[in-house]
Amino acid sequence: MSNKSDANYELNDRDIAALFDGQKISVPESLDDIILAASRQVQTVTPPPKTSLNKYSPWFAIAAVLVLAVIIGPLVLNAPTSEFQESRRLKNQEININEKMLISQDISMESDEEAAESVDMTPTAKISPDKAPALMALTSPGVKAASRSPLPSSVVSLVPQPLNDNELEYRKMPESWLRTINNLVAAKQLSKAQAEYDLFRKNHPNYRTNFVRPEQ
Amino acid sequence: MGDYPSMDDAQLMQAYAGGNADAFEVLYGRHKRALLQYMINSCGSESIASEMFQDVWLRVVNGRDTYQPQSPFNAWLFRIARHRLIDHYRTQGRAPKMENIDDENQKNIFQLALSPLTPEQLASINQRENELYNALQQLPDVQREAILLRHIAGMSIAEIAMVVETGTETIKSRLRYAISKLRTLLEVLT
Repeated sequence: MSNKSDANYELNDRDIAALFDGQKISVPESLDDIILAASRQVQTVTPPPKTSLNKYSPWFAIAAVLVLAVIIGPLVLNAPTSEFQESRRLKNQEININEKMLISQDISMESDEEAAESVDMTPTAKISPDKAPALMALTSPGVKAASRSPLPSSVVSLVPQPLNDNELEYRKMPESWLRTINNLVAAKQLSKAQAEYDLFRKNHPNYRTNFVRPEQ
Repeated sequence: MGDYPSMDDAQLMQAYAGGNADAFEVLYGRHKRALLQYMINSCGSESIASEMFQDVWLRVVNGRDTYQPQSPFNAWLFRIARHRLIDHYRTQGRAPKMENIDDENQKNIFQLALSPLTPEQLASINQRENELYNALQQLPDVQREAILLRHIAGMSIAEIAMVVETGTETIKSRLRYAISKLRTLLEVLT
């Protein structure tokens, strides 16, 4: 430990050295514990050394956010919104047309079914025009909500329901399915109407109706 | 502990900076007594010395990445200790000072230094350690510093010069004065 072999012999006082060597000094164990614990603690909590990537990570993050804002911002603000609005407008338009067409179609289908039940299942009768106002009135919420309606259940079932987004709902009942096909025809969506009719026939091959397959 | 006991101080410090806490334990075991002895003899109070001793080692721990293996660990450690002592002196309202000794006084001191202490005198001094502390406290700070680094830390003149950041001739001069004055004081005390 000592390097006292240099030529400065007059600086190597043995008596003084003996005095220091004779000092009874020992480090308290409590100090040892504190210092060694601190030395180990910093090793356990020391974060990993900074790489060049870590060093500049805040700048990378800021740059990435700016780039994303420049690229995605216009897409979010323009394209998706306009498409969405256009599709909503078209859908509302279609619903309005469907509602109007349903009334007239339902009236004719009701008369066909009544004729089929009362005579020989041959659709001959036509509904009288004075029935139409009554059916129109059924579309109002107050009348629709009334379960004790004086009208026959077959008529109530023909009351047009507003179309909702769940298109599969109308396929649960043959009547509603046919109404939807009629609506498609009225809306000049013949290919879709044909497809729906084919699917209808596949599911209800024996269902009697005077409805004919729509042609182009 | 692995091969740590066979490593030199610089290797141990590098190992500790690299994440091996066991290396620090070996290093600490090598230098703890000398450092505490240096602190006690410097400030003359065991409690203050213990507090500063702890501070110094914590500075070593926290500054492990700043250690340059080209310089001896011993010099680095005692330089930290010296700065801690200077902080202590400042809080006490005094700064380390170099005492100017004229040639006549120097000659007298060297005359005294040439006569060794008797074994009886040494034994007496060993029994009264406080007197050594008292004698050391009467030395100028820079001379006490030089003699403590020489005899407790076991440093060469060049290493002391490195720690104190001054020339080797200055260190030699300080040591000569310190030894002579200490001998004088101890003879008086005995």
